[in-house]
Amino acid sequence: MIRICILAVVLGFSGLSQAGSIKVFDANSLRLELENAKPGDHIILSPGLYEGRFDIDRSLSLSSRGDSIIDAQGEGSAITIHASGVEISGLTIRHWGNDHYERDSGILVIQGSDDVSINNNRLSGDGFGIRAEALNRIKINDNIISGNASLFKLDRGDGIHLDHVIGAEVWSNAISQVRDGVYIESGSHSKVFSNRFFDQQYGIHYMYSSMDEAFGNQSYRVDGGYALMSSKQIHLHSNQVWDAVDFGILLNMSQDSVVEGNRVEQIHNPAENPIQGKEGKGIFIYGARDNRVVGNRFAHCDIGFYMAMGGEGNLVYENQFFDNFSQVKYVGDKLLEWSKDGRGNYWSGYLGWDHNSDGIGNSSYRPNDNIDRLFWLYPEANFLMGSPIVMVLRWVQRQFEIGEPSGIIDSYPLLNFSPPFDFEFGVSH
Amino acid sequence: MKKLILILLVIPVLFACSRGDAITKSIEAQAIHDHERCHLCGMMITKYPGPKGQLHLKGEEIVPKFCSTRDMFNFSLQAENQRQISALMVHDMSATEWAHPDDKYFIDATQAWYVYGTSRKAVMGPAVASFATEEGAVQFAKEFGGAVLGYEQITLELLAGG
Repeated sequence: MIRICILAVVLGFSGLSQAGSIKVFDANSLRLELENAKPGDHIILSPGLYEGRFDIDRSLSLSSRGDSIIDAQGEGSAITIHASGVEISGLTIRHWGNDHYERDSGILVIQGSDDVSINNNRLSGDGFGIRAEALNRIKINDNIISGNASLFKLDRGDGIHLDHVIGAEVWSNAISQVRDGVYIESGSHSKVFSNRFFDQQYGIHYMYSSMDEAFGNQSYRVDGGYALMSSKQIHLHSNQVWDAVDFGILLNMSQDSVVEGNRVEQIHNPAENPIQGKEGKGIFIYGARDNRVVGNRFAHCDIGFYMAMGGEGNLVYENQFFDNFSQVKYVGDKLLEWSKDGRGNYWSGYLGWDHNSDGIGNSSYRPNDNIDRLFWLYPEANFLMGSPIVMVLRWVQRQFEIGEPSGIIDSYPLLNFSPPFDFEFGVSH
Repeated sequence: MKKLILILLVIPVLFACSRGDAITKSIEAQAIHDHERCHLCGMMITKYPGPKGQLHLKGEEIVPKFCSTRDMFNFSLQAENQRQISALMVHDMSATEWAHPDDKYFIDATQAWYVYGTSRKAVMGPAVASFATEEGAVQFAKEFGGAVLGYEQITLELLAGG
């Protein structure tokens, strides 16, 4: 009996001081409870339509027991979070504004709001899906975020936009019809994994970021898959990109990054005569140094690997180049060795012997010869490309090195390949 | 055998004749539209501060624009692009504001002066600030730091070293 009394008292006491569950039924009761709730409270939305814009300024959680729709009526942000430790889950959020200067978002997380969790929501609207600024450890998972396909791509918001965020984790989201799927600016230590990105500009876009990791993501029907700009120490591995127009992976002014085991396929510009530099590029590197590109698969692209001059200082090995229209384009006049510790890359066009059966070709491989370089420098001569004289010239220059050797050389071409990972193509869940 | 090598060597010469003839024509700068994207990096151009670039190509209607003078040079200095360019233009930063350069002030990049290593921020790496006159560049360098350079001194090695 005494025990039960103690238990009852303890339970009662904890009930008072600890969080409670609060049910709300409409926009007014939601607004009222958001103002009166205690930190740690759990507000549960009944199924229904909640019109307007809502602010959360204390640590609480918001969820739904059914189909609860928050509709911002085309203006501002649907939910603005001004506190740490907030969780938002299971809601449908729609119809927010598209003023990028005002940062209109489905969920806007204001600076200093650490440890926010946003999961299992459906967001669709014009501006940013989720935008967070100057905070730590946000978790964003299992959301479906879609933008407005009728807007010009650059006028849409990003699916998830993180600015000065440290330690973000973003996983298992499906993001479409936005500008960039995940845009990370001036952040660090983020993990972005197992997301799907389609019908947008870039899947993941790093800008002035460092020490980030992305893996297991899929990007398709995009302009570009993964863009690393002015960033450092990014580990991009085991991602997939296919059906992109501009590039699979871009490294621009990025340093000390590792691009490893990604599958890059069908990067193709459908324009009949794309203007110089606008071909579909499996990976495009310019002005980027001290990166490692290893174990990736570049297949069926206009250009498998486009290395502009100024991108020379990178390690490239154990990649597979598979039936790209041009496997490699490098017009610089330096001679670059693409192998490490006796292991080069797999080239689908390589026809060499392997006398000692160690899986390494006996003769080195040059993806481009001097004739390629000549045509790159003098595209006016393209009409001669298939002519017998050019074929003879190619043969001649293979027999005798004419001029200083330049371009890419792989002294240890690999004769076997296995895909970086087996992923069912175009899988959707 | 020698003949073949000769032919190989002659191809560049054949096309070298046409080099530079278009440069004499005056070419109008185009304004950069909010929706235009950098030809090199694909980013929005007008969103970011600092001088922009554009270039005109031989036999090509499209005028590639760049988010920064740096990216313009990163494109124009590539061996495969150098010969295709009929005009290069950059903003004159003594005439217009840094945050939103006005497209009325595009000047011939080959005649411009540059400041490299300045504290002012552009995009895609350290700014390559551009000016119509040497005095303009010197003035800017005094205020915001950096070295004053001529057009010929902007090289890929310089940009890569930044």
